[in-house]
Amino acid sequence: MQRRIALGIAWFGFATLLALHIDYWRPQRVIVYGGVLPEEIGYRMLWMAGAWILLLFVCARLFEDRSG
Amino acid sequence: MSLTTIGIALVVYAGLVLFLGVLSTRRSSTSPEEYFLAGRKLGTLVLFMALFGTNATSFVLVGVPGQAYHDGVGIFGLNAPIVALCTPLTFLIVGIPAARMARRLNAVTPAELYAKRFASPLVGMILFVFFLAYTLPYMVVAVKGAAVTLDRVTDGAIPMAAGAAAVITVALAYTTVGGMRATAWTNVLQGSIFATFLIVAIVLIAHSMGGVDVAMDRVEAVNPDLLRVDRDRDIFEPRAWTSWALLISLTVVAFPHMFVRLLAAESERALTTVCKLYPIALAALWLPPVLIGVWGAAEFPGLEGRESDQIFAMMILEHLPEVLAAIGFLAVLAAVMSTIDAQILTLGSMLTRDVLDRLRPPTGERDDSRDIRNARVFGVAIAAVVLVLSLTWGQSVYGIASIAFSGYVTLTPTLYLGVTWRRFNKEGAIASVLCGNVVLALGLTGVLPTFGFLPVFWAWLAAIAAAWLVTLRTPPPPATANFMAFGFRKG
Repeated sequence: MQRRIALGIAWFGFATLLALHIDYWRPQRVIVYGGVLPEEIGYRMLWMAGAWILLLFVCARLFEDRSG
Repeated sequence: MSLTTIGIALVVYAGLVLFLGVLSTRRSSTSPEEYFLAGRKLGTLVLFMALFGTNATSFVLVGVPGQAYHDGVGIFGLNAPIVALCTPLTFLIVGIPAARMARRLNAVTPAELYAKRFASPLVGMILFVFFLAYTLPYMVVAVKGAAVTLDRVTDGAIPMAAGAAAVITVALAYTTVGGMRATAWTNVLQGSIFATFLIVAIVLIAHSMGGVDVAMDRVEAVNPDLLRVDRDRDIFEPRAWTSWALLISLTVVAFPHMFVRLLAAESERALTTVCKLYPIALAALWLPPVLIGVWGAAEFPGLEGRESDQIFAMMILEHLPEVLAAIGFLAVLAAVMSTIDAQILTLGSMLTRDVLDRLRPPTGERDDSRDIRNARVFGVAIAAVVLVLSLTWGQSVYGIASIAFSGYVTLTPTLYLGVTWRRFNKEGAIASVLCGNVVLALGLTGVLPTFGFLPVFWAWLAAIAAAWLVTLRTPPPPATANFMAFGFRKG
C-alpha cells in the first residue's frame, strides 16, 4: 500500500473516531445491557477497540524503524 | 485497617523499591546520559511499565473515583477513550522525532533538546520555567492523593503530613540513588502492583456487593443519572467535553517526565510496541476506578465536594479483606511514587543542565559527576517544596490536575513543531509558549471570556497562531542549527 493511501486511511479513521467521540447526537438513556454493562461504557469500549485498530494500522504502515 | 498491617505493608514495599534503587546504582552514576536516561537503553517491557506507571497517578486512582462518584460513568467516556488513542499517537508523532533529534544533539532533558534545536538557551530556560510551574502542582496532586488515602485507611492515625512526608522520602531515596534506571525498574514493580490490584479489586468488590448486576441496580435506585452522560452537567456540556478532550489527549506527551522517557527508549520498535499496548492498558486502568466511584455513590451517598476523593479508600476498606486492602493502599502509593520519582529526576536534571550550567561561567570541560550531584540536591529541594504545597493547597485532586494539564497543553505546539518543522524558529517558539500561557491565565482568572469552552481551548489556539505567525515574520533558523537537529533533508 502506498504511504499516501495509508496516510489518507489513517486521517479518515482518526476523523471518524473524533466525530464519534464528540457524540452529542447520541441519545443519553439509562440502559444497562444484561444488567451489567451501562450503554455509555459499552459504547466507549467499542470506540476504544476502533482506536486500537487504528493504532495498529498506523504503527504498521506509517512508522518505519530508523533506529537500526 | 490495623496499623500493624499498614506498617508491615509499608516496610515490605519500601524495602523492595529501595532494593531496586540500590541495584540500579551499579550502572547509573557513570555519566549523565546513564543517570538521567538509563543510557537510552529502555527496552519494550521496562519502557512500557515506565510510561504506564508514570501515566497512572493518584489522579486516576483517587481523583477519578472521586469525580465518578458525583458525575457517573460519563467520566470514563470523558477521559479514557481519547487518552487511549491520542496519547500513543502523540508518542509516535512527537516522541519518535524528538528521540531521533535528542540522539543527534546529545540532549538529555526536554528543555536541553529544544535549547539545542533552536540554538537558543533562552528557549530552554522558558520551557524549563513552564515545565516546573505545571509539574509542581501535578506532584502535589500525587502526594495529596496518597496522603488522603493513608489518612483514611488508618482512620487518621497517620495524618496527612506524615503520610505525605513518607511517600516523598521513599521516592526521593531510590530516585536519588539510582537515577532513571532505578525509577524505570521500580515502575515495573509499581505498575504490576496497581494493575493487578485494580483487576482483583473490581472483581472482589463486585462479588462483595452481590454481583455486578446488583451493584448496577443499587446505583440505578440511588441515582440513575450516574449510568448515563448527563449533558446538563457543566463537565459534560458539549463545549466543555470537546475542550477537555483536547486537553486530556495532548497533555501527556508534554509532561516532561513522560517526554524524557520517550528519549530513553532503546529503539523506535520498542516505542511503537508500547503504543500498540497502550489502549488496552488504559482501558484496564480507567474502568475499575470509575466503577468503584459510581458504585461508591450507591454505597456511601452524601459525600460533598472533595470528600469524594476518599471513596476509593472507603470502598476497599468496606469490601476487601484486610490484607488485600493493605495491597490496595500500596497500589495507590505505587501509582504515586511511580510518577513523582520521574518528576523529581526530570526537574532535577533540568535545573542542573538547563539552568545552573547556563548561569555558570564557561570553564571548558563539563563536570559530569558535579551535574549528577547537583541533580540530587535539587531533587531534595523539589521534594521539600512539594511536601509543603501538598499540605497547604486546598483544591481537590481533580481540580489541581486540571490546571496543571491545561498548562502542559499550551506547550504542545512548540514541542511538536520544534521536532517536525524546519522553518520553526526560536522567536516562534518563545511567542507560542508565552501567548498560550497568557491566554490560559486570562481564561482561568475569568478576565477573558471563554464562550463555554475551557480556557485551554483558546490557549492552545493562541499558541498555534503565535508559533505560525511569528515564525513566518522572522528569519529562519540558522542552517547549521537545522542541519545538526534534523540531519540531511530528504530528496
